[in-house]
Amino acid sequence: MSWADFVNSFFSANFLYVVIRVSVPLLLASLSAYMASLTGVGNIAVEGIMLMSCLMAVLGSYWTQSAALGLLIALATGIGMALMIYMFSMSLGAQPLLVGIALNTFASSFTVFLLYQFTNSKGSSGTLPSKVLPTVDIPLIKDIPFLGEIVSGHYLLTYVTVILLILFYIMLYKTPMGMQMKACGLNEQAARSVGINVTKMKLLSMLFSGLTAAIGGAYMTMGYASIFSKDMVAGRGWIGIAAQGIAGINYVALLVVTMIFSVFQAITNVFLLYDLPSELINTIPYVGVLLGVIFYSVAATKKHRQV
Amino acid sequence: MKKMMKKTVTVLLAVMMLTIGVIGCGSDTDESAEGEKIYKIAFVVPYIGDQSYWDLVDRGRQIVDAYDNVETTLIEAGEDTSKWTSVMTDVCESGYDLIVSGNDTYEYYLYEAAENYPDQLFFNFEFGTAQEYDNVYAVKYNTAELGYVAGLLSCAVTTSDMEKANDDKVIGVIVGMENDAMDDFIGGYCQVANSMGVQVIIGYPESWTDVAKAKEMTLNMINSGADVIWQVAGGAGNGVFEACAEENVYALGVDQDQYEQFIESKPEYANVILTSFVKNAQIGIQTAVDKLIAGEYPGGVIENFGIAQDGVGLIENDYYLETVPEDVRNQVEEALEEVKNGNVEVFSVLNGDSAEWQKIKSEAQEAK
Repeated sequence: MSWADFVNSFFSANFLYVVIRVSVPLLLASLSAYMASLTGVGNIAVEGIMLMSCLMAVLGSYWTQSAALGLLIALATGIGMALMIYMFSMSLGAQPLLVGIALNTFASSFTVFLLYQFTNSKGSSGTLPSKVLPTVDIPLIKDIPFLGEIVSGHYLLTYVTVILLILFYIMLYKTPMGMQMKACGLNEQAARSVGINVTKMKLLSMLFSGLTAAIGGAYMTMGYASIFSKDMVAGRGWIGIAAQGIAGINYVALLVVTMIFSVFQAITNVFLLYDLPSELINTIPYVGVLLGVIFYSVAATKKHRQV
Repeated sequence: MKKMMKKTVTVLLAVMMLTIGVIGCGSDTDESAEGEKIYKIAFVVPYIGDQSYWDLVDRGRQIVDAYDNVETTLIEAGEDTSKWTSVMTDVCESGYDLIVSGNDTYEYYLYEAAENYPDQLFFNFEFGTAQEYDNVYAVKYNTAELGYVAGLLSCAVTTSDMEKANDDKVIGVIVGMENDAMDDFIGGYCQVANSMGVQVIIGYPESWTDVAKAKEMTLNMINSGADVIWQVAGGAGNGVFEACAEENVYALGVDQDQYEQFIESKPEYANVILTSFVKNAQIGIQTAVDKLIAGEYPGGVIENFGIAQDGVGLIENDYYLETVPEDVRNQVEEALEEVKNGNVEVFSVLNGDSAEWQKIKSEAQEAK
């Protein structure tokens, strides 16, 4: 591969297609962290929830021999784990942070335990014939030259994610419920004093958090890859938490940060094939986000001064 | 009276000592019905069931366990190395004829025990940094030569007119991490490619677990014309098979017969895996046990098993024989003979000069 091919590879429809494919699990992880922190509960178990859902999608679809039922089992697992954080922290008075840490370490080992029970392997689910969800060709759009190549032919869960992103946007900015959820996170006492059902809002936010992380997990084993491999989420949940940390309660910033990371991750995957030091290349996505945050902060400060 | 007492105590003590002696002997009668000595061998590993490295060792254990005069015990000591000293001490105190353990991560505890128990025999089945003890026999499998075999087949396939091979003379390899131990796998691989004018694309995902990243990198390799891709990336390597199955190009496995691993459950994976390159760990274990039984245990010897000793090689399963045409297979066989005869010296990253490795690596990655 020459350098000319290399440069060209970033200006192709295929590259943008790849960026979307890379970004989906990251976007879902970011959404999960965002939803949980919106009402002030917080969920640092995104990684663990994704990992458990990854495995349950494989096991579920193997047991039922149906991709749809496998997905449902994965979603139930993810939501169940998120609700566990809610229950332990809200009803039983534990620190959500500690519950999250517990769930992460639990998931990392328990997935291997389950894997060993059902496959006799501690590495991957290679011996289980599990099901995957189909890829979707969008009629009409798929025939448009450039655009069709980018947006058509993705995994089913990619389109589910896009729909979720839009629905969440509408919920957060156009409905009273979204405002109420934000209010809970900003000042719980004040929210309660104006009659918002704080408990319900927190429950809902954890439900959404579990749901999105579970879809992220299922995406990893029901399309992106078709088998479960030990610790295969490989830090994507933590990237989501970091993205939420950078964006705060700004939903659009959350998506932008995650997309910057995804673009740089896709670039990195190409760069890594060249005779360059791989340790350095692997820092590109993180440096990219750091630069993004610096630019954003400088711009925001300037704007603030002008006011 | 006092004298009497003393005598009684002495007699009692003597009886006790005798009894203990007899009981001790009783448990020591390691003889089968025909009066043949039974060799008790302990295998101390962190765990088995990874369908990779540790299972290779376990397969070696099963082979020697099938001997009539060998009895093996498998001890899964766990990954927590802080427990290994006490586990090793326990094993050493249990009167085994041979203790098999080792590998880069755990050999420290083996050598520690070897120093404390100079009469106990040990076998380090794959050393990282060998130490010389009279009671330790240590072997290693030549990963450089393993990579050499992989390179031979990759180059032979990409230059052939096999079904999934394209016109570009490009091959790829996904290596889990960039370090000398891992680069040793691809030193010989690049050497072959250079001698045959084939371009190599090397990808380091810097992860043993990130299946998705390995898949993305493999897809990029395939886009650049690679049609045979070898994985040396542990669990992440499954991403290589995923990508190769999607794009219909050849993949090569490592450490175990990966075709066999997937043929039942994921035939779409299996049908792109031409063969796998393995360390024949059983050869070392068998050699050690055979010599132990023959009474000539090579304590203090440090050995390197390569192509010449059949210590490394590829798996010739039915699928390989069926899919790879005879002329390609012969080409590989002939090149291997050259190594066995000593006409070709395989470059090793671990023993070689790092400047030379950089040169070989850069040359291999140049567009041809």
